[in-house]
Amino acid sequence: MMYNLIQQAPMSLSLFLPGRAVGFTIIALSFLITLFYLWTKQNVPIRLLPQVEAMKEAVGRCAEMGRPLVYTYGNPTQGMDYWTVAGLNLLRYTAEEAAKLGVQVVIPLSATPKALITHAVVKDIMKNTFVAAGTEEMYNEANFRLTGTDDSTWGLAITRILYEVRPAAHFWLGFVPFSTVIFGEVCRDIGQCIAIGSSFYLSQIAFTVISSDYTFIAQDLIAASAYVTKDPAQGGFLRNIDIIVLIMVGVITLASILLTAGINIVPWMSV
Amino acid sequence: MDECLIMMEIARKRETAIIITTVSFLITFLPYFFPIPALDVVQKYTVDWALITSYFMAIVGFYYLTKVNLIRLQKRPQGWLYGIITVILVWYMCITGFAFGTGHMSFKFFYDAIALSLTAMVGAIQGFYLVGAGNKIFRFRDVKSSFLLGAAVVILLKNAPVTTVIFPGIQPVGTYLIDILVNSANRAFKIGTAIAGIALGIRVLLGKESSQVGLATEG
Repeated sequence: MMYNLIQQAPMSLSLFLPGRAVGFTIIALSFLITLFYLWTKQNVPIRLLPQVEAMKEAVGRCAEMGRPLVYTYGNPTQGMDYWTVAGLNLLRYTAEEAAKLGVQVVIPLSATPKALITHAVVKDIMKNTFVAAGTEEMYNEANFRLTGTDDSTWGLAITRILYEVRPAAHFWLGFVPFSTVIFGEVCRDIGQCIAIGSSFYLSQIAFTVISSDYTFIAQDLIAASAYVTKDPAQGGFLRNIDIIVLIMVGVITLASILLTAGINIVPWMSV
Repeated sequence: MDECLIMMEIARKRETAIIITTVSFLITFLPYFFPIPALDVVQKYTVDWALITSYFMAIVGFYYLTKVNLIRLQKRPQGWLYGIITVILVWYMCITGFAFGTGHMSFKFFYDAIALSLTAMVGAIQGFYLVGAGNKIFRFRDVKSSFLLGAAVVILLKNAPVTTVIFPGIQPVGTYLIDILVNSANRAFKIGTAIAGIALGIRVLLGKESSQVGLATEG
């Protein structure tokens, strides 16, 4: 009886278009979780990642060596996506540390049309951070370098910038394409340059981990961004991802067990 | 004149940007999930507007690229010559593209001869970097690194035709690693990033993502 009920899943719930009910439920749940954290202003506890600690140390090292820092927030070909937002939040953190210690931050800007909206935001972050720290004279337009559009020319342009400015630290945190695998090696070649990178391509992680000193693997970047901003909305964002992923893992596990037992609940997932 | 200024002031407000975002979101979001025929036409128009607006970015980019590099020409910092080459090429591509079309030889030649060659060159350079990095990765240091080493050896042997003939057992093991383990990990990544996208969208709608509307200092 039960088996038959499960097998005969409805084609769709009349309120929704066919196959869209589960997707809507996930989005609605996600919305409610975010709202809950925003309204209650609960701070989600996030542990200090060693990579964030290393960023601070790297800025200090730049100050000691009198060399600049290169901060790459990626090549946001999709505009303002979540990796770019996380990269920009970490840029603000880096700029605050740099302003305290008098370190110049060189920022390559992507020339991709959709990335143009990030340019004003980046300049805003840098200017306001330096003004807030009382070091307005450190803001230098020449530190914003225009690079290429596609991932290859973008990577090459940053490599040239790295050899030109010879930084004591290079961070590439954000929407980073495949061409970033060479950055760690370039930093090693420059000498005494701390490389802190991020990666969200599965095939890229091993190379980034081995070639850079510290790596933010996938959602580490979002966690670090939430940690440095101390913003309940960011914390809720992170908790939201955790809860939905946990639910999905639970559903996938349950569906696998039931399917092995001969009960197919997959049609119910596509109502 | 005053009315224009008031309109501009309203357009620059953070609330205006959030209202436009929310309305556009609802127009495109609701017909995707619910059967609302009245919104279907509006959704189509909204998507067309978004596409047209995105092309304006290319014009802004063209202007910005020229302006930045002309300023560099005046100040002549290190590497200014590259900027001049960029501006010349950008103008050349625009003029030939508009004048003769994108299929013309004069347009295609520069793209094929420069852009494609550069991309191929980066790929070739990366090959060497990856071999160098692979040399550092695939070493037996501890138990965890041995997993990576073991998997790498199996995949390398699976992709070499001779070894699959000599050791036929390698093929199914390699296929299992790629199809089951790598695919599972990849999908876990994809689920995580999709949820992150949804969560970011919600924050933008609630006006909690200030950087989206160019007010990065507020957060």
